[in-house]
Amino acid sequence: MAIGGALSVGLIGLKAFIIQIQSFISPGLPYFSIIGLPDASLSEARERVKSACQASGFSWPQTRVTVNLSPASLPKRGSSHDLAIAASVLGAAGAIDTETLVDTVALGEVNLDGTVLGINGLLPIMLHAKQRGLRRIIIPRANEDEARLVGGLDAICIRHVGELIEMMGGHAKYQLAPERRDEARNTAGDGQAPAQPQDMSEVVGQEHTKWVLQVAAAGGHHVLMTGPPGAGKTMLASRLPGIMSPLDEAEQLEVASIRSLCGTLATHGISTIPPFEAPHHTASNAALVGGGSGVAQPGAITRAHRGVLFMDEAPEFSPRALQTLREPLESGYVALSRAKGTTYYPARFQLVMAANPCPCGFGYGDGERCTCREKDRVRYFSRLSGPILDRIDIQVEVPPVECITGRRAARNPCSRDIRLAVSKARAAARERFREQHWGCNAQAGGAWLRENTSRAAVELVNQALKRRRLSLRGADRAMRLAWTLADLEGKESPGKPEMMQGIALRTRVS
Amino acid sequence: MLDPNRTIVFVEVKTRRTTRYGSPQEAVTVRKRLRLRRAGVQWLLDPRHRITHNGVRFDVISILLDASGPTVNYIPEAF
Repeated sequence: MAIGGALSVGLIGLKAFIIQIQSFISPGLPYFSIIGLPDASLSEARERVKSACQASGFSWPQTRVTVNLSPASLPKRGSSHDLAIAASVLGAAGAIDTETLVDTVALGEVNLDGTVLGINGLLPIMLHAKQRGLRRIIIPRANEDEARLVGGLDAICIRHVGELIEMMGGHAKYQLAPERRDEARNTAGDGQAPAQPQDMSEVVGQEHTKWVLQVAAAGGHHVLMTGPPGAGKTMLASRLPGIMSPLDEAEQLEVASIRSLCGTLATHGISTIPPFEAPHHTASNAALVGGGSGVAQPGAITRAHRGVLFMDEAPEFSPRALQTLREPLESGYVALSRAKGTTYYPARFQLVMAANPCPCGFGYGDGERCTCREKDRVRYFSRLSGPILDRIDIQVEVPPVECITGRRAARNPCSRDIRLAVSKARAAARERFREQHWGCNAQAGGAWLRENTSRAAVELVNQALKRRRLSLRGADRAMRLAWTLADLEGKESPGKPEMMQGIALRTRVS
Repeated sequence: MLDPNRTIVFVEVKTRRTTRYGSPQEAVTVRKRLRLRRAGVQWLLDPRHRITHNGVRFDVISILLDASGPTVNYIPEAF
């Protein structure tokens, strides 16, 4: 009778928890079982671990081996616990000293020949281990760069299970395959600078829309752009992250954790530029919001957390997908409920929608060239009506470009300058809302706005309400826009001109 | 055989000269175990084998014959 143990860390969504692995070798016919709600890939770990240990010169016990993953009621998934399972079995069999594994987390997937492969989601796992006071962590060599992003932990990188045995005081006999450059999965990026978004100055004309996007970036407001095809809506939206306020440390870690979970940390690295996600309108509900069988995977809105979610051809999205966006837009997170449990993912993103004014695309301005029937136009926009449009703070018409030359360079600011102005406005807003913990004007509560906006400005809102140009929610949003405009001007509080602009940005001229 | 507690023990002996096809114990697969149980039942039903007994047990003995001599592994209550 022999017992061995090891520690690992599991993930449900982005929430990590410690898994205590215990192995028990008992008399009986040979049988290797893993219990504790493993999923399919974790059950396959039996083959991998057994083969890897034998490839390291360890003779697998010809008797009953049971591995328990505690806590037994939480589902465990993925292949990152292979190494810890191997370590606990080796400890139970006496091939390594179990004392060496105390307070040590082991992570990694093992291959049949014993090599240790990289895993996804290392960043949130390490942050959790650090928080729980575990200082020593054994990780695959492929995750080495990602591990360096978290300080204060003693990270030991290994390439083979045999190295683990030798490190823990045992004898191993193994052959290490030569490291191939193209094979090594470098999960934290290959050292090159992450791709920068292109510059706003590359877009011809469209000064009004550029200014509107500047307002949106400064206050965190959601935007709807309508305009004919070819006006530049997509170009402008993709350049929005370049003018947004750079992410602070905590936000960078959040975004990096999500990317680590999705396995895209290598391509993006850790950067201060907010993420940009542009799902296609044929994307399924699960791809957009998150889902999948078992423990739900993050969707596009989570990958756009702290960044921009761009929905091009917004009326083409399925109504179901649009309706599921309502809740995350308000609350900033998405709850995916399954029979096995509910997974919460953060989803505080800035929504940018682009749409044609009508099905044929020419229904802008005086609508001369438009060939749509009124019924078609109404039906085209009906998907965007009501609750979704009410949550969009800014609605702007993007007119077609009339001239590609002749604009003075001075009127065409580059992204860097715009970003400076936006960051200043954001910092002012954050300072103002420090008590209430709101990050930007778009998160400000209605009560606060009504109390603190000047009488004269609020009077304008009342007039618009009376004339039914705004709903109550629209009034709140117009006030938020006014505050953002005041921030951009450097004013203490919005006056009448800012409020008028705020109301104008709010209502769609069509 | 009958053990001191008057339990009938059926012992399956497996011998191997090499572990190239697995250890001797691994050769007692689930299917074989079912057949051994059924064979045991059949044996007990035979009127010549009527003995008072106190339960039934199945053991496995695995013998590995290699250069250094036979290695015997006894697994009581294997299934």
